Amino acid sequence: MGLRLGGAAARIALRPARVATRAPVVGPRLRRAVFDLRADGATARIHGRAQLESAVAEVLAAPEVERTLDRMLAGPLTEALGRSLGEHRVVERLAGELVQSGAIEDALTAALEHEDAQRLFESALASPGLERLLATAFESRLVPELTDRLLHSPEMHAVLEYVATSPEVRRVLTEQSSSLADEMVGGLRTRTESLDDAAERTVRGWLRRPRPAAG
Amino acid sequence: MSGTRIPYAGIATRAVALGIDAVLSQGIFIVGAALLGLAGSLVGELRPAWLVAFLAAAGWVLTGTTYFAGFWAVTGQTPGMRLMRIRVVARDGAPPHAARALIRVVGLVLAIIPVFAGFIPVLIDNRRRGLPDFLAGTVVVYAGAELALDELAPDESLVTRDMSGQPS
Repeated sequence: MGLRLGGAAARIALRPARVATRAPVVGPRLRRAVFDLRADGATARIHGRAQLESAVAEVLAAPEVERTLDRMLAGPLTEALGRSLGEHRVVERLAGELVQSGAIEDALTAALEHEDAQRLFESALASPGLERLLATAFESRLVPELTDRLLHSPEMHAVLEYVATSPEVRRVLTEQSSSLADEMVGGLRTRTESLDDAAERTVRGWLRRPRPAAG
Repeated sequence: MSGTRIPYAGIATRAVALGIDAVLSQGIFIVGAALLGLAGSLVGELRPAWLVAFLAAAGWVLTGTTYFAGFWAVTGQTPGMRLMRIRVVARDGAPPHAARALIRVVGLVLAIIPVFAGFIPVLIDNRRRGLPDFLAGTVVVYAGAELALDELAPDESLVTRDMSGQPS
């Protein structure tokens, strides 16, 4: 409401000046003066911003600011900030927001598809350091312990029970076994039939009798 | 060399089938004898020794005869023959009846005694018949083979005609 009243008062106050700019003799001069004034104002604004920016940069680069920040981080503020972040679940909210927006997925996809990532992965796999690390990990006494715990865990028992009792798994195993047996017997039959013919051909060759032509 | 498949089973296929059947029939005999021996040991030791040997031999003959003659007469295929997809048929194209199957068992024994020489005719006969087939009037064919009944009729001699029925 106040702004509207102020705008209306300014328009009323500037009305004589507008009338003057439309006057036949002084109008063009007044308009030029207004234009020059506007250009000077724009230049002064750019100047001012640049000066402000350099001043801020100077302030931020000052060792005093660095010391202040260092004191601030060394003090109880960091813990308070951490507590506050935890209390207000900022990290979870932020992560949830990022996951919902798909930004993480996009970032991961972009990172994985990037050729640098591929190169990095290949060089990591080829590095002797990784090999040593894996060898150490496998030789560690933790591996048998972990394996033992995994094998004795109720989850593993549930998985094994599911696999053992699953009709689909049993059907697949039966099919695999029967197809393997069929293949073996089929191969044996093919070979013995070839042997049948070969043996007969050989003996008939000795006796100089032609091999039967058709059944 | 002809590309047409001969419907009669040759010596290798029949040998493999016979080997499988021999193992199976002996397995049945051994398991049966072991069970009877276990049952007999609960009652008391069987004497004299010749009686044990006689009973064992009789059991062996009975098991083998029942195994081969039974399967041939009922389905025309022993388990070994079924695995090798061959079957024995009489002149009517059906499995041999019991008497013919028993004759075939006798022929099988006679063919085996002279170091399997009774199977040599399989290599030269037009219908790939061995001594058991000649005695019982049967042929052994591949299970999927189409066979006309006139092909199963007895021919005049062992090698007077070839597979197409033409004099050779």
